[in-house]
Amino acid sequence: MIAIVGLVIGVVAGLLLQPTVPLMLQPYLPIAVVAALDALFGGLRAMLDGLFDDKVFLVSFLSNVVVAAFIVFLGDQLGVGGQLSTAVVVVLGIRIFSNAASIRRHIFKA
Amino acid sequence: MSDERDRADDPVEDRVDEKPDRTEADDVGSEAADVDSDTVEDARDSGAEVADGAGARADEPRADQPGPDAAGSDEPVTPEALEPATSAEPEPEPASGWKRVAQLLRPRGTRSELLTGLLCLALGFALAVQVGQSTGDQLSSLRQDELVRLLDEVTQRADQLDAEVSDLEAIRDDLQSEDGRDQAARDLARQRAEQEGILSGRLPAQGPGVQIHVADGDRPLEAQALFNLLEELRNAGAEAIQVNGVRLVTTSYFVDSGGGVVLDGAAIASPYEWTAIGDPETIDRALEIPGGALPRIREEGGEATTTVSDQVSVDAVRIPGEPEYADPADEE
Repeated sequence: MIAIVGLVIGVVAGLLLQPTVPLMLQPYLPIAVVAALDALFGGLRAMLDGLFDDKVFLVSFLSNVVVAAFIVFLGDQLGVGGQLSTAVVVVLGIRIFSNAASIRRHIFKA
Repeated sequence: MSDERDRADDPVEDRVDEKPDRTEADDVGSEAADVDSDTVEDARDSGAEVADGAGARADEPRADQPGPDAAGSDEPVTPEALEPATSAEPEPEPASGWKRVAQLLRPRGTRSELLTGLLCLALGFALAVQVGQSTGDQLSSLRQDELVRLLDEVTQRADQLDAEVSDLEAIRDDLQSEDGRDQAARDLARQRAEQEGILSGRLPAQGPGVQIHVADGDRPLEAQALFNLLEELRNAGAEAIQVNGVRLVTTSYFVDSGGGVVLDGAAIASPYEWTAIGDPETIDRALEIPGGALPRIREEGGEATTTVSDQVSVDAVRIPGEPEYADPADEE
């Protein structure tokens, strides 16, 4: 509940404040958001599995974000930033889907 | 609680079999199982706070359990049975999914929930910012190489357009200069038509010149005398000449006819009023030269006076006939 409230508050704050993303972070923010979404779905699934642990969630959330951003950063340095960010998004998307499937099984038993 | 744990053992194994993909599934889920042991250790190592957190963790799933039970569900429940044993096998909740979700949504105010809420807040914030960013300005969300490519494309397009502009300008200049040439040609043609029209007698003319009054004396002047006068005027450079309203052209002729003179088939009679356009001084001097046209007329008893004027007008015209035999020669 608090998580949902936090999510809503965050979205509202972001929409209202509309802060300017620092130029340095602009390429990494979308990837970081996708990675955080992945962590969020993973946490949701773990919660439904009864395995949720806040420490794991915190660590996986932060490390997902940092690693995804770092991979893209590395790709930018290597000159394959676009392709690598696509790869990261694909992988995270697959994970999100599999987690969503697991959550769906929990909720709908199907 | 404790008997719930006992009951839980059997279904747990079924559950694991049902979901083989969980082993390969996301790290969050599997880590959660692993980390349970860590948290226990943390709780052991550090002070009351961590112990409290660990306790909250332990309580959390347990708090979920009574829901299904209270609903009368006889489905086996409870993964926490294994939690104290730090089992590596995750314990799924087989209870009704919606009920479980409802339980999860119930605010509990634990540290775990606060932490999760904080992270979700950060996520929502970043999400909204990114959405605003990418919908607000298309360019700012592009990568550097994409921007460079875009710039290249725009530059290339600009070059193409520049080339097109210069092409079109060249065409326009061509057309304008052609137009200018045509205009010049038309001007030249008109000018030449005017010149030749005056010289051929097709156009009336005006300008400085002389007026000559010639009259018969005791006996009529012969055509020869008038022709001499005409030739003298031509020698002096007269450009347009008329006599008694008849334009004198290259084909003009004087013929004696009885008591008078026929000019170009029309009889004319004394006095003969000449008008010639040309340099007045030259014409005057040429006509008055001793033994010239006018002195000879006077010798034959005629009357001849010359009036020099800055502005005389030759208004008689002659339409030149089409040459019957002569064709324009090739210019080369």
